[in-house]
Amino acid sequence: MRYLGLIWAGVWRKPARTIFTFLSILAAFVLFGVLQGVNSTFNRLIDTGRLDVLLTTNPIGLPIPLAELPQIQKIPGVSAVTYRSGFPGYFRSVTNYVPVFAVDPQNVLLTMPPDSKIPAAELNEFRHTRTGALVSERLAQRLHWKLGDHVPVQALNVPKKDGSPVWTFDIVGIYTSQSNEPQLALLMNYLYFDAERIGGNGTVQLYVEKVADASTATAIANAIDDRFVNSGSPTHTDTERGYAQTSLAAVGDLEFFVDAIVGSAFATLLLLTGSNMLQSFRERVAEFAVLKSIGFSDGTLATLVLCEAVLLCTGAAATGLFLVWVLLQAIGGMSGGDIPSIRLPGVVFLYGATAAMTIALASALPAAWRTKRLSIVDALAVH
Amino acid sequence: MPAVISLSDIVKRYLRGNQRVEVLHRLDLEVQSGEFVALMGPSGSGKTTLLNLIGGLDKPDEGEIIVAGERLDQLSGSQMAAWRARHVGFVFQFYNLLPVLSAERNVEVPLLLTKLSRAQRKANVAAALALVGLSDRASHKPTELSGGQQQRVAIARALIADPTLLVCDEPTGDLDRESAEDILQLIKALSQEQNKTVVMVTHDPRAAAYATRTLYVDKGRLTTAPERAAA
Repeated sequence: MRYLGLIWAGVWRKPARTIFTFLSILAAFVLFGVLQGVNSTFNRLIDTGRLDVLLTTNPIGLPIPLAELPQIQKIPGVSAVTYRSGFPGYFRSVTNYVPVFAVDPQNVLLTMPPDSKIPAAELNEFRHTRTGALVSERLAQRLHWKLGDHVPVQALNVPKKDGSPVWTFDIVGIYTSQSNEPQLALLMNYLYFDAERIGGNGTVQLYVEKVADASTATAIANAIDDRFVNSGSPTHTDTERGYAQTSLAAVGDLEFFVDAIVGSAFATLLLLTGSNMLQSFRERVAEFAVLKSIGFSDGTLATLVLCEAVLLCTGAAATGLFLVWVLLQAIGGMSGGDIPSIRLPGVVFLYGATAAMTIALASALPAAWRTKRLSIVDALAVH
Repeated sequence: MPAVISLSDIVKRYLRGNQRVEVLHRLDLEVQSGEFVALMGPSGSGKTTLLNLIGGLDKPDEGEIIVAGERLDQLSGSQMAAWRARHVGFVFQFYNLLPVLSAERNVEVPLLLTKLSRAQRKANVAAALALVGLSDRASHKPTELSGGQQQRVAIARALIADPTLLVCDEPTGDLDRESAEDILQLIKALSQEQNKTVVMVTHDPRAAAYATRTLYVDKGRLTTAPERAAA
């Protein structure tokens, strides 16, 4: 601690250079934080997918006949099956986005996030009300809906038989869930949906199967697909987690992109900081010689040089990651849950600290080595 | 009284290009405690080399060098650094203050190597600056001080750890006559009143006149001038 003033003074010897270096490091760590945040959010979304729940869809996204339901129920290992359809809609304004899911009221819990909580009376009311709707707590809060409300939802792509795009619902239940994201959803009665929609009757978008033993999920998925392989409506079945993985893989190999971009940024940073440290060393040769003559040992001075780099790098990295954290909090707050919130897990800060330390030590090592080897007599003779 | 500085049979060689040049030839010297010795001689005669050996900045190739009771030629690099911190204060021609630190922080630097508390360091710094007459310039950066004032700060820095020996390399070489006189008076007073042993390299006979003894270095050999009373 007694050398902190000396280290601080060394860092700020050339304020303009220090500020630009600080900003370069900060920018690199903002990039690192954002990309790591996106990456970890994708991984988190994948991890929330259940391994004992299968999703069956048409391989090219076409609707699947509801008539396949009894055949799926008969497949050994499948303990429960339900289905889901739906449409994107909005309430009063397009900014009030409402994802509507048409579900089987008797098996609705299987289509909801596993930690969902809903009073039994409200669930029962949903099962017995044709126009009833269960809404997530976040959606209810956002649109100021409460139990008993009669709400019109404008469908974006599924009009009713009478040509109207407006679907009206009675809010009969509000459920809460912490784990799944996004948590905006309105669940409607499939019977109401299928009876009123203009086309595609008797079909669903996907089946949801619960398997008794997660270790047999792949075999059961294959059995389901085999059952319909030669039918007019073939299927593709995967675990909920696999489904999430496949969907996100369509974006590209995110991990590779993140590693490549962050790696390039850090490599550039290493060269920049290293060059600045060497430049700083050259400017301070006489000062180092004087400090040595005063009694600072070679090792102490080399350590001070390393500490300057560590202070600069870790300070800028911490500031960068803090800015990212603030930024992501703000974005998460503004989105109101429409998109999965990007969070910075603690491990990113740990990685950041490690990266900052590594860059600092690696970039300052040549300067520290030269400081250690500096001959007082030669340095004082030249300067 | 034992000599504070004792050099015997000192040889120092430097590599210049492919040639090894002997700068000091079998040199002997003894300096008593409290002496103020001036080293004079033409450029390249070896006086700064001799000063570097006495101050523990360099080692001889041959011979024995004892300063403040320590065989310097047998010390390792880190031992030599610790020895310098304890026993030597340096004053350079161009002051060599750290430009980013204020006068008081510059003076405090040698105390960072001691175990003194922050409060003790602050008190010692104030006393040292008062001794050189710069209490009112404590918070100024070197660029805000005149040459004479900077050299006073350098002297305060050299004295702060209460060294046995003060090593001065052309301390007035970059100063005007009036400032040079002030600095030399100060060094002389330190030698006389605080019993500091001073070894000073100078080209200026008027500066050398402040010393109690003047030695001449010529072509790596030491010739003794007649000892005389303090100026």
